[in-house]
Amino acid sequence: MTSITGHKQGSPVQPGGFWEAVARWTLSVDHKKLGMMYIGAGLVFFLIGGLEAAFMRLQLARAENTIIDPETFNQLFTMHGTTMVFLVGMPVLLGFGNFLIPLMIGARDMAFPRLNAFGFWLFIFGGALLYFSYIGSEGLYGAPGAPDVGWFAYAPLTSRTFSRGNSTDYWILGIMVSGFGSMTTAINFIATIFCMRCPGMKFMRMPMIAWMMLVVAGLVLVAVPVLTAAQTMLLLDRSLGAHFFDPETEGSAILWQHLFWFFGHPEVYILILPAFGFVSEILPVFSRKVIFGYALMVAATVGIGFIALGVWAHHMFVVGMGPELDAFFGASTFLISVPTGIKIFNWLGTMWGGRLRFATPMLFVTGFVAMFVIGGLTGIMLATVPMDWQLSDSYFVVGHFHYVLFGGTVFGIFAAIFYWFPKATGRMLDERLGKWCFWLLFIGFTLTFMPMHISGVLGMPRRIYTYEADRGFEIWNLISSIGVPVQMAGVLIFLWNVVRSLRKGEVAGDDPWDAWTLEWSTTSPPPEWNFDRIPTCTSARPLWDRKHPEDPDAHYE
Amino acid sequence: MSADKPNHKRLRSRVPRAADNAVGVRQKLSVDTAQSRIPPGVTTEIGTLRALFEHRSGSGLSSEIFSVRDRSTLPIWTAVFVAATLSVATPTGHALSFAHEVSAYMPVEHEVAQQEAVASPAEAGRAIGELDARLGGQMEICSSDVPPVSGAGVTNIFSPNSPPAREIRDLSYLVFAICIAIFVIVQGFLAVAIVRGVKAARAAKLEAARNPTAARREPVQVYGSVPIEIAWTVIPVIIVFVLSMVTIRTIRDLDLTAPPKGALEVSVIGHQWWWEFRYIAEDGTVVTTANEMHVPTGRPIWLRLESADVIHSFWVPRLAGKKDLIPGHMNTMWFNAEQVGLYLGQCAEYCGTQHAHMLLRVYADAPADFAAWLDAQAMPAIEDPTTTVGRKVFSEYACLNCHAIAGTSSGMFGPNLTHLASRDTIGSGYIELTRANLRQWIADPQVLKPGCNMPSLQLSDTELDAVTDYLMTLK
Amino acid sequence: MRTTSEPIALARMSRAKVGMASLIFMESAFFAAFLVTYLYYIGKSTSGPQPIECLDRGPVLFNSACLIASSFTVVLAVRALARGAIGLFRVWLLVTVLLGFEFLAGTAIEWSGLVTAKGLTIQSNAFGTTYYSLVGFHAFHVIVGLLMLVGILVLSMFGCIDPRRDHARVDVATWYWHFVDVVWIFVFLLVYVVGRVPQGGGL
Repeated sequence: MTSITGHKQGSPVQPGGFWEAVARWTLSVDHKKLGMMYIGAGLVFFLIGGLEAAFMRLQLARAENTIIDPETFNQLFTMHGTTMVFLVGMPVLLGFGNFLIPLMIGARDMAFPRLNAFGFWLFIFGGALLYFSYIGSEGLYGAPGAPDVGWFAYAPLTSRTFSRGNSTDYWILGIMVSGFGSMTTAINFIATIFCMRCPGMKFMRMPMIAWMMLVVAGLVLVAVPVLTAAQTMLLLDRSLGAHFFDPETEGSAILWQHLFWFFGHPEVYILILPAFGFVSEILPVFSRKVIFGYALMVAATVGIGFIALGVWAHHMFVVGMGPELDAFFGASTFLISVPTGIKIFNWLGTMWGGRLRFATPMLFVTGFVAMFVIGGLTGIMLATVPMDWQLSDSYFVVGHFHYVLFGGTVFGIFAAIFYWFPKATGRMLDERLGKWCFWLLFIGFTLTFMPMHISGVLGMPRRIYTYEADRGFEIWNLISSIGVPVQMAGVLIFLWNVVRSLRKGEVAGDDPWDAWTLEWSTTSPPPEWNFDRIPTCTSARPLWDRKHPEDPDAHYE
Repeated sequence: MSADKPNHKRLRSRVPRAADNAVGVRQKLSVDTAQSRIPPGVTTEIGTLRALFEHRSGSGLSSEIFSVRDRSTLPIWTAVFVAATLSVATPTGHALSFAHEVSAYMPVEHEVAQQEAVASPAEAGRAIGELDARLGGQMEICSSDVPPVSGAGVTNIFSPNSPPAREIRDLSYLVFAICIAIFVIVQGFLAVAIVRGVKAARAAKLEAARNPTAARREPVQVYGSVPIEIAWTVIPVIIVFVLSMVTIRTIRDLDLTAPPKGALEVSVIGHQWWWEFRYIAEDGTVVTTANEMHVPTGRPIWLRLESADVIHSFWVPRLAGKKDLIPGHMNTMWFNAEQVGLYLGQCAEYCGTQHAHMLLRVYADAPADFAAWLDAQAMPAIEDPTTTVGRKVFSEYACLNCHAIAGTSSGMFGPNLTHLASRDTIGSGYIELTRANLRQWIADPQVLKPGCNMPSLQLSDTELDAVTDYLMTLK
Repeated sequence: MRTTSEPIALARMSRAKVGMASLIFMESAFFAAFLVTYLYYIGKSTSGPQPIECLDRGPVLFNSACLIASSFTVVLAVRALARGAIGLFRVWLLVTVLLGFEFLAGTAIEWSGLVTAKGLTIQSNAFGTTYYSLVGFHAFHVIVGLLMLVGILVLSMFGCIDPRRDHARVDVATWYWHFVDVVWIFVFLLVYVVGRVPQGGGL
């Protein structure tokens, strides 16, 4: 099992002592190591954020529960939301971008490897800063604690008056620092995709992931600086006594919402587009068919990128913007369902007539498609402005965005981990454990998040630390909470699978899935220089062309 | 129910349960049995009925579902499904399962239960009224400020009782229908694709076993289809257009920029974590009250929404959609309660520590009752000579800095207490107003509502009793 | 069979140029947020010093002229470098840096006047808040650009700038300087032209 270069395969563990290994990883500017560190750190934060959610569900399992006091509960949902968006979603997806983009476009590394490492360590520092607030800050009532203003930190709850202590400052700075990390990564993605493609890799031959990451990088560059600017203003308000968001002195509480959601909505697409990319890579391979409608898929991706910048105020229908703006943002939000729908139909078209093989990545991808449809449809309901007047800030919304971000993004991430783990480590993840992981997560997910739609319809607002016994919320909350241990079991099995497979997993070989993109043409794990010879690309599926010289894709371009 | 000893557990586990469907009934029941003014022959019946109410409200919907399951031996998922369908889709859902319970526990009242089973909440209320009549009129169900029944599914957006909420519900039905159709089509295609795909894979495997040279053959590669792709671009565009049109129409109907004709205007001011309501009475006096809003039925209500601190959101699902109360930005909204009753809601925008206990109670009264209520609220506070001690305690301690009592103090940071005793609850709809609860609340609000802005003043027992007695006279 | 299966060598774009363009794009979004916020608060200040009383266009026009002139001088510097005229390059770069410092000094003088004579601070009102933050963040970017240019100047003094090898790099670095200039034009128009409305004027 050695490749032509004599590079040893099948083991990610390289010789050397512990400190050498630490140095090899921490000092590395290799996009693959950085990508894996992004994903690994993101998964650690995923466990932390999940634990926070578990505590919340414990408290909400029964009406009038008193296990967790209100301050702690408010910190839990603030940290859960912030962690999942900024310290799990972004880094894991950008980590996959890091790992995959150079391999998939046939490059030796990112355009700016050192900037890449800088971005990663900024993210780690930002995350550490945010979590340091648990010991280093003081919350609303002077007691030490994490930020408790909600992940979208609406003014004026974040002002000095209502948020004493400095927990909110930790929130601002932690997110700002990791935001700088995201921005440097985005610059790197764009430069890499523009400048580092291998010979023959025209834009319309790029893997879908490269397209998705390009659009994501564009969105990061437009959206994240706006958040940084808004946070800067908030910081000026809090530390220098400025009046950006202070309604007492001419400031506007609504301006924060506009600035935040101008970032916040594109952020949702930043979190979902890479997952679309995973689906668009994995689904064809396990259906044994080329992606249906590549060009339309690219157009839909770019379309989503542009429309995503014009829908932010659909988070603000209850703010009282007036009928005209409500109507505009309702309509623009409906419009974004068109390119999103195209993607789903194209995936169905890809599966249609294929030969499906339900290995674990395919299970997660299929789960993604099914669950994302539900999240998309509840999204349409929420875009119907009058329905949003009822459902906004209720548990229906919580159910909706978990269907998008858990049923969508997290399922996509799991699919990607199972799919590219062999490439990254040289070993397969265990299939049987993988299937257990999928079904437990799927069942636990449905148990937890489906009932939230009902409790929302019954009138349960989000972010309440307890609820009245007489409103009919209790059974739905109980079912939601029952789903939590099921999901936890799934995650634990996954972790065990990773640990076990790293040491004893089946050796993968270069191309275990019989796939078609360039990363499968090099060894598993790839050498530090990725490719011994820079590959060339003859179509959108270069490896298909090599495997089927009698009928290459190039004919159909 | 001993009247004076506060019992923490009881208090925590609740009192705004009185917010129950049969709110008025239960309160009166407990009072009446305590006072034993009821003819001996019916005491047990009332006791059973009370126990039933306690049981029902103690554990909410879950108890209904599980009791339905226990008695009818339905499998649990069927029960859950049935309960979900009923409680979401039909406003009478609660009444129905409640009727099951009544019939199981109280064979005596079986006919009433049967009546309830088919009846709307209002009719169920009437049925309880008949029961009252048979019990000798002791229940005193209907008084002007405690409506007979609020209707089941107390905050369900699908049991509207006001034009905005109803129009939203009707629009929701349409959108639901469209979404369910899309759901069925997409998931149907997905299912068929999976079944066909798995079969094809199996067939290919068999083929490969028979003919190894064909092992690497792949299925037909379809790169796309322009007509199909156009179709699934254009059809969604049409659906989106239709949805936008109906949405915009409903927005225009509901998002009024000026008050409807003949509307009663009420100012709503959000505070961390309670509500302030201001009315202008006939004679021009400003009536200020807190947490319990009274409105006349059959007349549009125009709310001016403002906030004294952070952003809150006014949400009474059965009356209208929610709207934020934003400092420095006045919003307006309207509704028109069609039936007498109690409509519950709560703050829907995260506003800090006790966001969960910023509950809202809207009492829709018959117009004459409302007028009487407003007149009573416009009166100055009652000065009962027996409570001068309590009044003195109130004005000597910090109470008066935050709380207004017309004629005694004019604090603005806390709820106006001029007619405190005319309310059903304290702590922003969270705790039933009884002497014991009020005393406990004044002794240390942080026990009942941790994090709230009212401090404990460390009053002595006698001071506590005096000030509680005083406040309880403020009808 | 068509010959498309032959790999096509792609015309390589410069990583540095794409990276710098992305950075500028990102910074534009950052400034856009501040500019929109400034626009939003124009005329909203009901108390405290007003723009019309505070903002004196005369000195600012001179400062602006210096900053814009520095964009031209930096172009001349890059051209000199392209020709290999390292001495001329140093001169023009020095002029650029001096013009940049003049702009910063002008801002500092203006601010100290505002604070001491007019009593306008970031705490005064919405105008003070938005004015100092927008102009301040622009000045911060001028400082970053100046550090870059000074760095290049110092390197060239030590003979570390090779015209052939480093021409493209220096060129890309000056993009940032141009960007800072262009942003200033927007800031100037918004703050000193559009925003100088009488009290309560608003948009």
